[in-house]
Amino acid sequence: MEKIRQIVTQGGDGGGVPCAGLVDGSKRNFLRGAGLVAAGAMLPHLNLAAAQDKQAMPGSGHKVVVVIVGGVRRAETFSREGLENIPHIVSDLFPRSVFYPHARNEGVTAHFNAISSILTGNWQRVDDWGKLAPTSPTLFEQFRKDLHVGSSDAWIVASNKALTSQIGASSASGYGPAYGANVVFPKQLMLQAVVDAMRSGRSANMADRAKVEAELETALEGSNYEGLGWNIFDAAEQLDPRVAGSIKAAIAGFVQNDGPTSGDELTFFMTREIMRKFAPGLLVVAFSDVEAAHFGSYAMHVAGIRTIDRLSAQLWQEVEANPDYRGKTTLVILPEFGRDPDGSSTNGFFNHRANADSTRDTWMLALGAAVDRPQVIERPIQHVDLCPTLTALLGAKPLETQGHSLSELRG
Amino acid sequence: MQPRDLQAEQFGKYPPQARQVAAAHLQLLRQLPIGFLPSLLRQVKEYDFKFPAERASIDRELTCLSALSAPQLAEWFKGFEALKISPALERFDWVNAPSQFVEQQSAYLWSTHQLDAFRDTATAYGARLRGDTPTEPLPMRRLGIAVIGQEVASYDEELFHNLRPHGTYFHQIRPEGGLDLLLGAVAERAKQSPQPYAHWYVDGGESAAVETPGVTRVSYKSLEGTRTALLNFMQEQIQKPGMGPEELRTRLAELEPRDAGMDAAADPVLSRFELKLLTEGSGTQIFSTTFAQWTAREALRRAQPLTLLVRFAPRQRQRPMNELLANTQTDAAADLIGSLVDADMGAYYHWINQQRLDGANEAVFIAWFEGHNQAIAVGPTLARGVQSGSAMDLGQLMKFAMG
Repeated sequence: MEKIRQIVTQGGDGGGVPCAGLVDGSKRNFLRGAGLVAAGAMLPHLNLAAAQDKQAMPGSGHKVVVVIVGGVRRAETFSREGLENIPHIVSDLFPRSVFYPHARNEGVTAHFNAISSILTGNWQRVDDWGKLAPTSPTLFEQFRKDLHVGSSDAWIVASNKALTSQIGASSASGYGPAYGANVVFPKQLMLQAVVDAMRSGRSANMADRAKVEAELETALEGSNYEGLGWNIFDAAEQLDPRVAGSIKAAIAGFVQNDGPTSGDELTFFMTREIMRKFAPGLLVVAFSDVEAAHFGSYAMHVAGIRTIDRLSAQLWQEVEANPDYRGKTTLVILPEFGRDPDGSSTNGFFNHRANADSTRDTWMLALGAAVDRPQVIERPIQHVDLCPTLTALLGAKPLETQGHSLSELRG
Repeated sequence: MQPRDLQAEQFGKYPPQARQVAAAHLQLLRQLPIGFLPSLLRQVKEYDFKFPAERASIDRELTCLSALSAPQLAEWFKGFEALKISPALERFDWVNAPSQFVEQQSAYLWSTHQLDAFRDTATAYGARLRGDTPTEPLPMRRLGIAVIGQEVASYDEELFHNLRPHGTYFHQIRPEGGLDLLLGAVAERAKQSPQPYAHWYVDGGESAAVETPGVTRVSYKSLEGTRTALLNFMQEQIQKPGMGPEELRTRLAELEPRDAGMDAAADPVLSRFELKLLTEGSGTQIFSTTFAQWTAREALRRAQPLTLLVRFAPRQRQRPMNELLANTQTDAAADLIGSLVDADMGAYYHWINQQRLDGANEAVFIAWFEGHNQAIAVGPTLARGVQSGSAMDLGQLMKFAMG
């Protein structure tokens, strides 16, 4: 643990020595001590498994799961004090990852623009509230169009209320919703269920979880699921029965789970069901419990970070346990941006508007099939670098992007 | 309309003092660019409801600008003059609705990639103005006090982590009668330097019963009716078709204290301040810790008090989604530890915001874990980053910190 503290402190200060290949002896020793030798030994096997399945899948046969976290600062995550908030990432994921301590958001640090920049590889500058689609093609569209991939193979599942179904496809000529992702906002389902229950006076006798489950399903079966902001399978009026079944399974898992219940928890359960039912080749998950910071509670913000830490590890467990993903999947985790520094005129951690490193300089972690060997890449990268990297991993033709492919991640 | 066309009658809808201020500086206002003037008028229009420190700031700014020659004004405002404003904005009634103008201007500047230039220009203007407007010495050194952790029986984690490098951490404080001692000291300061809105006591729960004459009081509990009225208003608005976050914010900004059921006979300056706490501060309607932190920030920014005591109280815990769905009334349970963590950060931000004000080098700040023996004191005579095992009560700590 002390070793990793040294590593992240180096990274956090921005003064670390470039260490492609973990040339630094102390890091090598740390990784060995942390059991990475065993993890590294697995990699050839994993890559072999991926190769064996290639023919059954479009493009390269590679699958990608991207976890986009809301706004979190380095101070609360990869810093000396922040490590205690991300124990699963530190202990379970970091040791087998390619870790970029400096992944910068140089665009608009608002949710819709930040996520659409990650997904398009170009800094987007559209409406903050998702009234307009990204202006250049998304990863989803290129994946589907270039590789002739079906609509069930690209999904985004998000807790963030600032997103809309416009996040699934661009307004670019020759692309658009016909090639877009399925978009699901589980938290909206919850909020709709609350509103419905309160409106109809059914709230008084619903203390048990079974009733809650029924209430969620009632909201789901409402006349217009697009009212939830969703966009699934070409936006038919009725929810596709295959999807409805998955969502009901997710609701059941969520409600019957004894753990805490939050928007991100339901997003996780929904994501897991989609992985089990559809096994999409490209899946993006956007968690947002950390955005409780906007309501001014530091404790809730940190609790959100801990939830994301746990759920990210559980997603990796699902990748490793699910035969449709095991050995052929790359999981990437990155925050949308940081948050404003203490002392900023925007009230510190509450917001993410300051043009400061605390807001722009985040981190990124990748693990799985694209990782030849764990390493820390101290060269700063940009969020727009992810899209061209993933396009290549999926085997699709490159898009015109401002970002550049990350050479450390290879299919 | 362009600023050069301004007439005194156009300020007829302004409150009395604001109208006077505008009329007295009409010649100046006509010379200012449209990219800047509505921002200034937004302040002037609220003049009657501003705190003394804010009025003094507006007066200083107008006096400073009035003393400039036409070429000097042109030089000062060339950055604002260079901003392109849409014809629709030029036609907008920016005299009577300056806030709405500024909001729309901000959106326009963003969409035309001029926002960064505007921000840089405004920052440079503010710095220049501060440099050209001398401030008067304070009648006493500024004092901030944060009382955190109400009702928490024990806490094993480190408190005041962010403040410790800046001051002395005391771990043998005698807590008996601590709050009364602190409030007594606040009242004594109000007696020594009796100015309106110069000494404040903010409580995230219910105000303590102790008398504090001359001290401005704000409490979360006393605004319960207003908070309920606002939450109902927000619910109604959210249900309306096409209502988005920006529209909701605009509707909230248009509310008057009477719209939220506030006492018409109350202090109009303080009522407006309280209403803005609840309409402009995200989370202040729901979480008492956020309310206390935001109130401290806004009081320091606007009223610039000589004394500000903020006592944090337990907030409701975050309700998990299944409880929200069930709408059970179990939310009364407080999150004591979470509230302490919120308040610990709130105390840090209180100190940061205090240090932005004049006299920061002489200012003193104390944070105390209520009912316990831990406190931290920051001030010019106190060592930094050290601990003290000296046994003392809060009154003695106050005297010690004030030097």
